[in-house]
Amino acid sequence: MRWRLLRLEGDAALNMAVDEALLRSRIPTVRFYRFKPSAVTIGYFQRVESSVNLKEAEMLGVSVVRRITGGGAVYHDERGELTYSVAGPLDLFPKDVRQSFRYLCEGVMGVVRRFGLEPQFAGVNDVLIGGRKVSGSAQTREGGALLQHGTIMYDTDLETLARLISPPREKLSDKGLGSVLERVTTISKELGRDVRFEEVLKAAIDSFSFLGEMGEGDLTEEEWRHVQELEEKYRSRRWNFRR
Amino acid sequence: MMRKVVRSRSGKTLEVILDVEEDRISQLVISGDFMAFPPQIIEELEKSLVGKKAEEVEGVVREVLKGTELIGVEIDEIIDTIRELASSR
Repeated sequence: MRWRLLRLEGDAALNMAVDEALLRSRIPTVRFYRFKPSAVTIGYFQRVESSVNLKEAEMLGVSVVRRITGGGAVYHDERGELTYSVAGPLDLFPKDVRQSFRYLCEGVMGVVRRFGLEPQFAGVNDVLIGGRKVSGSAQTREGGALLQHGTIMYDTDLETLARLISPPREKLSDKGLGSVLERVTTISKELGRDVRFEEVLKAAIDSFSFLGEMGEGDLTEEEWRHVQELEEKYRSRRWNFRR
Repeated sequence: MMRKVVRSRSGKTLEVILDVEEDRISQLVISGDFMAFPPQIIEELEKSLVGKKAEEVEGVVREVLKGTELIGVEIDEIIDTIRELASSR
């Protein structure tokens, strides 16, 4: 299987529109991108008001966009986070949802290992270093295709993350804001040096090659048309605040 | 409007917002950081529960979510949270 390697990035609405277009087109694709500018994405079932500190977001000029995948709120730091997405027909992945998460998170685990660190797979979709979360992934399946995307925090500003992502009240009651900082980490923090984006990208391309051969490509014309349609949705309040 | 946020056994969040009129659910939003396959099923569940009484919640949820893969939340947690709110008036 030859995979298309896509290096297309932009703001949150464009990024989410591209990922949804990939799910629709079913062309086997691995994509690596950043959010420019930094943004927060929330899970398909989340309420903005309950998962994001909107006051902080407004103050920092950070937009909030709903994903088509479930899971939690993610802060995508333009200068410290690489997002991956993998899309393709269902038969390329383990049928069982949990197994497919584990299978694709191997790509993330490999990135961590390439920096000489030891990753741990936790729960269904998280990758940790020393018990702290460095990556989370989310997935959806539709029309015989699968889309999984996830975050790799290499130098995310964790204080900004803690300010933007509001933990639910039940979690806050026993743990304060500080505990968010204790539960997450970055590759730079673990290594004690500033890791550059180019290093992470190179490690990611190398690591995700476990899927098969990769060749650089661009979106097809049809996919671009979908992206344009879908971007409108991701820029709308109706979608982003729908729950 | 009543609201309840619970932390699921797997550490995720389930939030239910619900309104009751004359003992029947009149409005319902199920949200949280869980995952459901297929995802549209949660909206279908919300629609199916409108007009139902607290004692009907379990049957409807089990029927609609039959065959659904839930990650981060269990079917019993969804049932308990909705039922509790629906019968709290």
